[in-house]
Amino acid sequence: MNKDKISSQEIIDSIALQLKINKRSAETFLKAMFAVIEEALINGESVKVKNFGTFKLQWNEARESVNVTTGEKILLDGYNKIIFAPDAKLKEIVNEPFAFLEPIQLDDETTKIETLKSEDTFDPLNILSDQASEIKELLLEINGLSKTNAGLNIDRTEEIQEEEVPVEEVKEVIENAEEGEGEEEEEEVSEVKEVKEVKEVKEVIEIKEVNEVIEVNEVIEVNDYDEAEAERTVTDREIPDQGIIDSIEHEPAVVQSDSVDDTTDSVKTDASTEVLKISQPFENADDNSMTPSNEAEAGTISTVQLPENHNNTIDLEDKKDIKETANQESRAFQQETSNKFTIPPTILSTPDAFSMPVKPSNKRTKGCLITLVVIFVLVVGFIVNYYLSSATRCWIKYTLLSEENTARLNKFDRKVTTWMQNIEDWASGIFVKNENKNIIYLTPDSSMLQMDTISLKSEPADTLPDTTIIENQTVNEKATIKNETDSLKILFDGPRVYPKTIAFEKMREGNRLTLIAERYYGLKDFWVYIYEANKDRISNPDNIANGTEIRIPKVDKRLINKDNPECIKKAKELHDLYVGKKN
Amino acid sequence: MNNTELVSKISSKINLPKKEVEELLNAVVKSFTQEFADGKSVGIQSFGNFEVRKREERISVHPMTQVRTLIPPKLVVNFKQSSILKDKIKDLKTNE
Repeated sequence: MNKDKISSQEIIDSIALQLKINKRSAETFLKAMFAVIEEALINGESVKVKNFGTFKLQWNEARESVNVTTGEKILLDGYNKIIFAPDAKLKEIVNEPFAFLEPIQLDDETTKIETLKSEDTFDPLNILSDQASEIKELLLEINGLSKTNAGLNIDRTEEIQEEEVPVEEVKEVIENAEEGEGEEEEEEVSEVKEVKEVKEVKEVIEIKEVNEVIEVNEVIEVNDYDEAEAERTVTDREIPDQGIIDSIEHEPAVVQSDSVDDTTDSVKTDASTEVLKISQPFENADDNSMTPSNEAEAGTISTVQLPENHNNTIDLEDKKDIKETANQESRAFQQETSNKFTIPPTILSTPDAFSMPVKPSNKRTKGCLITLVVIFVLVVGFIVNYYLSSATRCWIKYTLLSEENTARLNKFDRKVTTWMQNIEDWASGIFVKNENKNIIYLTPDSSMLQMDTISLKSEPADTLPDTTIIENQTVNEKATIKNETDSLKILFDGPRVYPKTIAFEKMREGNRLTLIAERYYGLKDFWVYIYEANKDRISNPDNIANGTEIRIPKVDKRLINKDNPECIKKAKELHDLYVGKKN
Repeated sequence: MNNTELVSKISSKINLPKKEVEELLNAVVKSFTQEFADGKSVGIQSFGNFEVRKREERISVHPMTQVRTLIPPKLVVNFKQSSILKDKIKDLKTNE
């Protein structure tokens, strides 16, 4: 902004030049004009000059004030003031340099960013929430496992706290399945033993509430439990008849042989024990004074079953003692546990020796798979989310800023923009890469669902590239930062093109490229870029014909960085080049 | 007093036909506008100064909706009366 003050004399000169009249008459006119205006104002009138504005008289009321030095109260007299309200046309012309600026609703902008941000985080969030709900469902199932396994009496509603534990357990199971170490087998065995104990304790508590027959019931239930396990192994063996689960074919042969002894007996007693199980909890829960006939029944059945159960427990122990391959062992373990935890729902429904075990085992393997898939997707989702969010944040900011004018940019984000451009550069590069990788990742997920068991082993191998990608990205990032200074040099040295235009400016008398440059780029030295963009129109940058339409190009912000001495230096070099050439 | 009235008054004062006066007036306005567009301030002796000022950008808050709006910077013409004119019109109120 040039604060050059022009006297009336210059105005007179310009009028004389315009109308080709002598200065004297122009001067007399100007004086007369303001005299008339003054006169009219003194008469209390307002004067309107076409295309210029309105002069008005405004009475400023007398007001009290305080003398700053003495602190005395003084009364300032009211006075008249001439106010000038410029005409709309004049306003427009005067405000031309900033005409392209428009008020921005900040809240809109922030909400825009927020919504965009939420959009970018929304997808992963949605996925996460979906996954979370899935996990919750799975965890509900697994919690059944964890309860029996660890003997924790945690309510199923306390999902969140329990989430971690089951996942770890599932991982354990997976590890077991893969690694197949004897130690873990032993752990499993001990776990199973613990479970039994816990079950017993539980049942003791439950049954204490009931009756005198407690002890008998306790034995029965414990037996029932073992029985049920045996039953399951038996039923598992029966499943292949229906041809649903392949994995059962891998069942340890020893177990088969062991359980075969019991199959005939246990299958027969299956139904009865089931009934017992159902009837007992009902009795315990609902009515303490339930008909003793049931209990008697239970007693009789239990006596019948006791030997069997002993056999079964022995079988199980045998099975544990014999160190099978890990896969088989763990699978059997899984099936057992799965059957365990699915018992509660079946209690409510009618017992079906065949259909019951089939479903849970199927569910169990599937659930295991889904949890794995979900965990994997979560990991990938987090990584993607992290990169997407950072990238999109940059993108959003950058695009929003680019919509704004360079003048404001200079003011607000002089430093930030350069940074963001660099970020954007690498982001655009990395972004694509990242997306591609994701696609690669996602495919194994979907295939895993279909491939069932096989994918379990392949999964951990898939997760490895994640870390490598992150490393790659960080390396790239560093590389781009290093390239920053180089890119600036390239910008300086390379040929500059100005595809975008911020505004057009018509050259008037007294207007110079430097002034325009200062107005648009914030520094006079950057006029060279305007000149470069208008070389076809401007022959001599020192002397531009009036009325020449000048294109104000959009210059790379790194080039017109006021704070960067390199930029100024370069601009000055160019200045010397262009001006020197003319001379 | 509107433009035509002004023109007629000036023409009567300096004994010039209205058409010429109008032309002159337009020329004056044009040259003024030109100067303002270049960001220059114009001082008229014993009348006042016309000055182009930059109104800085600011954030306005709508009192009702609480919508915050960034008002961009703006160039406006500002007129400051000269002290001579101020004195002239100071008595105006008391005289009336």
